[in-house]
Amino acid sequence: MTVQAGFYLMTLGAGLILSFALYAARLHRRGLPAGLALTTLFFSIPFGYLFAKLVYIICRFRASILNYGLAAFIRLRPEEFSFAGGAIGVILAVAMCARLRKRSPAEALDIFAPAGCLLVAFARAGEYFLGSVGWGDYLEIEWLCRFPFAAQNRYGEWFLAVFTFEALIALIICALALVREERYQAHRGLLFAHTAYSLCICQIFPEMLRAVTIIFSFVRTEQVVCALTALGLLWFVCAKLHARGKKGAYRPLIWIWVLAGLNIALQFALDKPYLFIDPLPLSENANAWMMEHSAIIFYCIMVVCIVLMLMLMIRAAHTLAAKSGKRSR
Amino acid sequence: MKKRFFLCLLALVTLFSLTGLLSAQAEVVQLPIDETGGMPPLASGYSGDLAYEDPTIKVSIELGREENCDYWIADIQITDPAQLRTAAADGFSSTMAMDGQKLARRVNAVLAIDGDYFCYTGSGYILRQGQLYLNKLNGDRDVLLVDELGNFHGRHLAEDGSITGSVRGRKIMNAFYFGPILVENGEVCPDVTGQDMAAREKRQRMCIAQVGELHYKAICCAAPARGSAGMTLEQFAAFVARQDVLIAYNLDGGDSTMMIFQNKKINDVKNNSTRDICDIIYFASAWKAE
Repeated sequence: MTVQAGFYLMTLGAGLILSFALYAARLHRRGLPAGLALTTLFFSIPFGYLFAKLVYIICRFRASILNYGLAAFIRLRPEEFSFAGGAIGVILAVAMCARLRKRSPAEALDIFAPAGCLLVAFARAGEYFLGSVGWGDYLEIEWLCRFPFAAQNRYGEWFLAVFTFEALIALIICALALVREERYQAHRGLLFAHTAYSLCICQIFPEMLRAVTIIFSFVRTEQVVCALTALGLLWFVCAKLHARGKKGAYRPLIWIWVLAGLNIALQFALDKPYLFIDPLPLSENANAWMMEHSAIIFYCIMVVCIVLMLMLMIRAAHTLAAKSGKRSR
Repeated sequence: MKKRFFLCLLALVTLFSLTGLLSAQAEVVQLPIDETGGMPPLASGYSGDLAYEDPTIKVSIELGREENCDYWIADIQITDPAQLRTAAADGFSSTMAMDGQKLARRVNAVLAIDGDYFCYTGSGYILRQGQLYLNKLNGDRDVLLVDELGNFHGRHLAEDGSITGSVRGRKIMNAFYFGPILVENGEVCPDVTGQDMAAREKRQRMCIAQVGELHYKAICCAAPARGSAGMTLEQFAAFVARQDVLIAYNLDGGDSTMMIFQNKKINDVKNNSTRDICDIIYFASAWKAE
């Protein structure tokens, strides 16, 4: 599978049209000017591009600016863009356009949230055309060696199609955003915060599986950007809860640090399992078994961590929605 | 007279047929300088778990322990420089990483070792299988050049523009940007600790060395775990110099350290988690069986 940039751009274009049509329809339903969607689309493309490049360049300064100078900004190699950066650019465009039209950015972001998920799903699905960019591990399990679970390279080898997994997650989060919409109506910005948080947290695991990723000092930077964004969003919700007099409103922040720390330790353990398994008081056989199954064990714990992180936001957001609902009544 | 003539004719026909049959059975092929692999190794070429031989390549691997650390030394002799090759997970312009063992299997490597993790550094001199991918040197690392005759040439702290694509009039086929050069002219290089590479820490290490014409060694030591102490770069350089090599170059070590034989990692086998790598250096057979 080689890079077919034209097909990727067509998929991304279709995603932009559909998601911004959804955004326009939702704006119209809320009695807001649907034309805001068109203005936002106009700004989203350059903002998305710029931030996708900027995050990459910051993380890989030596490989980009020092090698190519400012031309690094116009290099179109797929692996030289940050997906998380691109998403941040689009979100900024949505907020900025709402502000320019003298509308609440938080409200606009709430309305945009499901459409944003749809755009993410299309952008991820389009990675089918970007060669190895969306691939994970080499696969030998025969029933998995077919699309949509896997993608094949020019040597006939199969690799896990991480991009389809990510596109599916984005669609699920999109559906959940539509379901939650009514409940969260009483608090501006909450639907966006919860949706974006879910996208960020759910990206941590697949990012771990990716064979092509932006690495800075052995750290997968897309994961860091997602984790920091999620932390900021949880902080936002906790601060609102605190403002409404909720006791222990900031407790989820402590827990997310604990879970993030555990996640970092697990990623380190995946790289050097012997450092974690050897000190355990195990028999030689048990040690060998643990070493052999270390990856699956650590991945399972990581998934549990991610579910717990998602639950932190669900609980905080539901409490905030309930409190805001009572107040507005 | 007639009978003798027919017998001679029959003998000649048989001889020609046998010659034709033999040439159809096996031959030495010229491996192309590209990203394709080598000829599949012969099943009958393996003797034991640590040796392989066919008319074009001879590999033997020695395991041992020195300075409280396990080591692996592969001795490789080839008949054509093109049998010393490199391969990447998804080409040398991609940053993809994958299991080195699968990569070795793809290219029919007789013996493979991890390369210089070219996709991580984002700078340096990336020239593989005769094609230049990046020429952004900044004098911070030693470079190893392999010419078209398979000879190694070290360049200490190579500066931008100092490498032109040929060395001593011979085309460069592969270049590596990790370093440092550990051994030169059979002697340990005076400042092996100058380029960091966690030089003073006891680590897993990997190097490639030239012993003579088309004769090489790949040497690696174990991690500071599971009964081994690991080696500092100085210790490793001294150890490598004792293996009678002319020139040796340090490659990516740590948990990327991988020596692959029969498509399996043979070093540090108790640690079955192998870090995905971008590239391998491998030795291939040029013997084409029927």
